[in-house]
Amino acid sequence: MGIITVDKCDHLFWLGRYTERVHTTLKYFFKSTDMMIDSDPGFYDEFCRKIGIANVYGTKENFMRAYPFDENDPNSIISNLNKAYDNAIVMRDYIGTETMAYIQLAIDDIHNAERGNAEIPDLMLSIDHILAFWGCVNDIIDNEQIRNIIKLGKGIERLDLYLSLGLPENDIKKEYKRMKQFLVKSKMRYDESIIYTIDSMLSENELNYLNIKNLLRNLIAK
Amino acid sequence: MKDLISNAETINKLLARYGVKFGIYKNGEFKEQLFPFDPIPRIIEHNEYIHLEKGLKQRVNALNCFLSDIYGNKRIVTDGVIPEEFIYSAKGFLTPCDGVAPPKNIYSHISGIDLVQSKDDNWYILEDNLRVPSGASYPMIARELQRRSAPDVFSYNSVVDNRNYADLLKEVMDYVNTGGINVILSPGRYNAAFFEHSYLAEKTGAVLTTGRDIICENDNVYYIDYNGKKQRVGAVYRRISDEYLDPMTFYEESVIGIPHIFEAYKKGNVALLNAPGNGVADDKGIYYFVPKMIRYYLGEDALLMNAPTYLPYYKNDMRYVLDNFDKLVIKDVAEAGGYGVVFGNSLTKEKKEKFITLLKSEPRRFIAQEVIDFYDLNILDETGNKVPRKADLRAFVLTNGDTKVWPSGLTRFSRNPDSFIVNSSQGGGFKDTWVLSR
Amino acid sequence: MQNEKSGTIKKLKFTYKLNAKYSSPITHHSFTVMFLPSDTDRQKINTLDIHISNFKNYCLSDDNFGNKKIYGLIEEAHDRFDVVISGAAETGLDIKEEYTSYPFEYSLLKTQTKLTAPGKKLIEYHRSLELDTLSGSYDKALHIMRTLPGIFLYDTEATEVHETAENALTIGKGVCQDYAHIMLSLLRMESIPARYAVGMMLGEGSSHAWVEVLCNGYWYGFDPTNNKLVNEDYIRVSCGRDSSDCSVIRGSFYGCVTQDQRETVNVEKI
Repeated sequence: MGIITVDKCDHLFWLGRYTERVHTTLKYFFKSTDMMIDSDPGFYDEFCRKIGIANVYGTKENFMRAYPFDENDPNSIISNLNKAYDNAIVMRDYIGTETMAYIQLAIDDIHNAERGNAEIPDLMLSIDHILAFWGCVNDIIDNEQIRNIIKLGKGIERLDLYLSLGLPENDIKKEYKRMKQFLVKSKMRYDESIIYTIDSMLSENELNYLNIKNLLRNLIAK
Repeated sequence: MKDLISNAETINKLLARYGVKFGIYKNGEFKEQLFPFDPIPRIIEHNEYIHLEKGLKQRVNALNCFLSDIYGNKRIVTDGVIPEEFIYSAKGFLTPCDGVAPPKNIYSHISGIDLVQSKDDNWYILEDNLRVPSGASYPMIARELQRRSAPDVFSYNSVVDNRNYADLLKEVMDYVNTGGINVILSPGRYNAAFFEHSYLAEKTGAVLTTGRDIICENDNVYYIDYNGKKQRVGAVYRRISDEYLDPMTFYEESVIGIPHIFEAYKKGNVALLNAPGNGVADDKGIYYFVPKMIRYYLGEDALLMNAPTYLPYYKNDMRYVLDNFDKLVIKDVAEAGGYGVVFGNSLTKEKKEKFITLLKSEPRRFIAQEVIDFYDLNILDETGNKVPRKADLRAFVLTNGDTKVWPSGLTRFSRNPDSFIVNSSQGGGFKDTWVLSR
Repeated sequence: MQNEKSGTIKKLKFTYKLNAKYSSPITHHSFTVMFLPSDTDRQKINTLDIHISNFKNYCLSDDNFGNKKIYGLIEEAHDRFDVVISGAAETGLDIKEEYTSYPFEYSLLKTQTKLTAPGKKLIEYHRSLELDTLSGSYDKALHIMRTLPGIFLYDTEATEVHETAENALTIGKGVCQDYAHIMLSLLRMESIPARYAVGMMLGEGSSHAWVEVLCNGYWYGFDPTNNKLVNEDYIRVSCGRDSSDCSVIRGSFYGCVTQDQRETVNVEKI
């Protein structure tokens, strides 16, 4: 055990990315739906723009239904979670049945929320299970490298989303620092010059979010 | 027992949570389905199990002798016990395997033997599965969950723990390993039994692979890590069928196999579990001869009976089959998974005539069996009532230096009251199987 | 045994060339080449040179029919794959080959395969030949060979690579592989052990296929495509139950490409 092949590396990395994508976009979805109640009913358009997806929803009601639940919408929460599951299911022997179960539970939560009548509170359970999944990653997976590849995926996805959402510079710097630790421990091959460039950009007065985002895209060697 | 029943829903929920599913293709689309679990266990008394255990060991030992003989000197054919047509025309007889002895001369490492109990309390063997028998993982995980949900039931009843299956499997892999790591080769996540492949990998510590990470070089098999470092592979528990195993020897279009793994195997550099070519022994036509094999190789009478079977190949049997068509079940030897099974009395007059013409033109292709009056097992229906249903038992027999029967098994049942077919692919469910220790 | 005359000995040189080009580079290329003639009662291979795309580290193995093959793995990206097998042979040492294989081959080669299994058309044709009026495997084989050209035409476009004998006969046209499969099917219906043979013929072209029939303990070669008994103009490379046991080349690789594969065989007198 513990032999990590190119394919397995890929699955672990994307497992990290997709779970984090669900986690952060769900939280942002909650915030946005709150705004859509009274202060800005059309906010979903900005939501789409910010997280970089096409606004195909047309109406607020349609967005509220399709974005979390529509399995035919490749950008929906459930689609991203299904992709996390696709990467987890082939890695059962590395991450463990117990860890995997929380992805399954998070999926079940979303299906339950779709059927229930209190969508938002029900969807919050999904976040609980994703956090439990992260807990298992830390607690159950003995192999440090496996843990760190998943966390690297998570770190890069989070940074990418935070940059897209325009979160405060301090948050960006904090997440970048964390991501760098995972990068080293994951032993994945990456482009060191990109790290030097971002490091020097971070010491500048004003951060160029878009540049950092584009640089990060090419960090991990293909 | 009440605890078990009242917790049925919880257990099914937990099974869902752990991804205990099997895949199925419907209208060309892949779907994962839960394998419905029924909480009422099949209970096998201690003495009964001792008998079953002896009979199963005997059968698997004879089948391993047969495989070694058939791919070697073929004494059983030259001595006239089995007609040669049944060997050479069997789909599972693979000429490339002829003369190739597997590591430690074991052919069937993991055998799944399907049995049913009849109303007269006798056990009958329905079929042998010596290629890639699946299903052990389901009772393994169900037991784990049941013990959690109803601990008292297990302290009062002396149920033999069945959670050692992974250890037994690992022992077998280690025993035949030619020096290197153990891997489980799966066709991928869209295979019906992918849950089992990944679960057994987790529990045995073997590496799960779809073959993309494996290469053969200079007649050795290697697992390649992300740095390109090669690790020698000593045993492959392959869950893909013979014809897909190696596109360089078998089906050329296979994309899930490992090119040249058969050459490495031929040269003794890797163990394949189960050995390729085993299909000749679990052929439905060969099934008829297993009691004769037991006599021939072991000099013993078979302890477990076959269902009464007729080979239309023999003139007398053909006459019997035609005379008693309506009370027999006819099976196409080339089909599996509950397909190609015809109950004589279920056919319309027209279909029956058509079938008999086919039977006469290709007698070697079919076997006919008496319909066994199953001893039904109770299951809980949707409303929570106990109802009787047809059920079989797949016993798992593992062979390293020694032959061991796993003290449990997969009990499958038909959810449809009128059906004899218990296969998961046709909507069946499963139960835990308890073997009592006293 | 009619028509038996000892052949004249010929010295031949032969070259087999396979040139494959891929539309873009491929990797992890596993290959098996089974085109290595060996000594039999009829032929002696004096020299044999193998050349595979700058690749030296290949493995060697043989199968149950005694066919030799070379194989290997090329991991690096490449867009060409070239095989050249050449050598010199003496042929016509005998007209037949003694049956020395393991005794089970006899039963195996009487058994129909997926590709030779007869259907309606073959059963009908078999009946029309009235082979039971002839005695002896040799005469039956000869009769099958002599009559086949009357109802089956040579056509390179008519059949698929893995065509069954039944389909080919129904179409009524095909290549040497189809002639051989049909003949094998008919012989096996008579319970005569027969095998598929792959090899080369004097002249320039591609690889050829014919049938070997076991008669009184000896293998005789019949070439139904040319309606000719196999003689000193033939070099045998491999044999098996049907064409699937004798694939000359097998390959598997990573890469989504179209490939252009060319095979040429040249045999000439020295």
